[in-house]
Amino acid sequence: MSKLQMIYAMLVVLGMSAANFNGYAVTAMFNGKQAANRGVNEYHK
Amino acid sequence: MGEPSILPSAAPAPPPRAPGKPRTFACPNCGGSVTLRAAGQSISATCSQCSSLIDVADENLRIIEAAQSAMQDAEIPIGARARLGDIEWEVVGFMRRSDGPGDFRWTEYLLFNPYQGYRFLVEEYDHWTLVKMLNRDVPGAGDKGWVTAMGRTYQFFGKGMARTTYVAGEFFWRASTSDVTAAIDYIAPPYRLMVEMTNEEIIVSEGEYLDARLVAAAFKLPLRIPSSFSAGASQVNPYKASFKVIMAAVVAGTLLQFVSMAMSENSLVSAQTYDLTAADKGKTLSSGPFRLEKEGNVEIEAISYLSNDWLELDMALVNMDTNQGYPVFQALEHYSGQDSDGSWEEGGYEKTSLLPPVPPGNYQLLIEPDAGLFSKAPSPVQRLTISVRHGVPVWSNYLIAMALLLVVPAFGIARRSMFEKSRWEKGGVAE
Repeated sequence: MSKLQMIYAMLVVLGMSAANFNGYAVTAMFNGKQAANRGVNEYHK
Repeated sequence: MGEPSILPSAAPAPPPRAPGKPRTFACPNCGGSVTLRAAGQSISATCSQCSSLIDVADENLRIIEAAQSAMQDAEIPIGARARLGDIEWEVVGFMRRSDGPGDFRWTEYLLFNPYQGYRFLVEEYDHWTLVKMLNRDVPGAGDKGWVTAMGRTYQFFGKGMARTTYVAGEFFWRASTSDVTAAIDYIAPPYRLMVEMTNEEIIVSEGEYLDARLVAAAFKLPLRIPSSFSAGASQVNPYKASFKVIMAAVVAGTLLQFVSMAMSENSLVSAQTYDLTAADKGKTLSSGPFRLEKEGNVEIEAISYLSNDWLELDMALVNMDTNQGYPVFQALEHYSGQDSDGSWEEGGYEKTSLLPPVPPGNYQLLIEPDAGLFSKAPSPVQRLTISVRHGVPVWSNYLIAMALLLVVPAFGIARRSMFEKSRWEKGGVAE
């Protein structure tokens, strides 16, 4: 059990650190994803 | 409250003697052959043919109880041998017992070793306890919530009557299905202290919990293994609420959080104020261009001090070099007023959205607003401030990680509590 706990705790902390240092937020994973390749000109039409 | 638990019923065991030869005699009831495995020690025995209880200490082999109810088999047959605690034991008899109403039942196997004497192996709902009778009294037993004996403090577990409902094999006392005793149980897992009282005597025994797998392996029998949801009365709770690993992870996670905060750029790259009027309806507003020097997340914050109004912002962060757009939608509303309960307020003046990391480049924020004020006449002016930050520290990951880490001890505590609940359901006082 403690080995499992250790692996689990390590994965959680490493996952959190990897996300943090790369600027990702789990709660905002899907933000800014709906549209692609929309340019300034298209918006100005 | 459940019924009281097991208690071996017997007179004090005789001191062990050198092994004698098995003795065979004819049953005075049916004439069947009866073999005594602990000859010279056994006082009563049952006939394996007719199940009559015979007083083998009596020269005339007096029948204590003629033919009991239907013959019953035990999970461990009489004559089976096993090594428990480095001692070879032989099953010489067994008894079925129950509490007063018969709701709670258990089986007591009498084990014999010619050099070690007797032990009881008690089975209750697939949980096993090896019991040794003690030559001592336990002062205060039955009166207090705890007793101290054998250097251990035992907690009160159960109290009630113990009835013998069936006997088979041989015993070192005059066993009978009319045996009824008052029984008190104390526990200090894996140990158990059992006090059994009749008008004539008090018998104190100490038991130690045995794993069913160990008993099955020792007897080489496919005994049932108790479910992990069923606790034995004196079984050690296997679920430990361990905090060490999790606390270390919490400390490490907190440190890493502060390191990531210290390392984050968190720079304001754009801040612009717009005065919205009805004339802005259907227009696309744009921020001034700004440059992001390296890859990083982007936080967009909109602030507008609305008064009983709403504002929706359909925005896009656009990379002017690649035309890649990252849409963001924000809706603000703020209402307040007075009613019979007093003043009320709902909504807020600001909204924040975080975009995942975007590549470096030149960017612009495009804003398409829609607002309640657009349909008002005369149209008021609503001030809106939008700021863009780059490389902001993230707190939500830390909070989620802490919650995930705390699940482990919470789960451990829940399992531990469930186990204890299962244990104490078997105890209690039966009137």
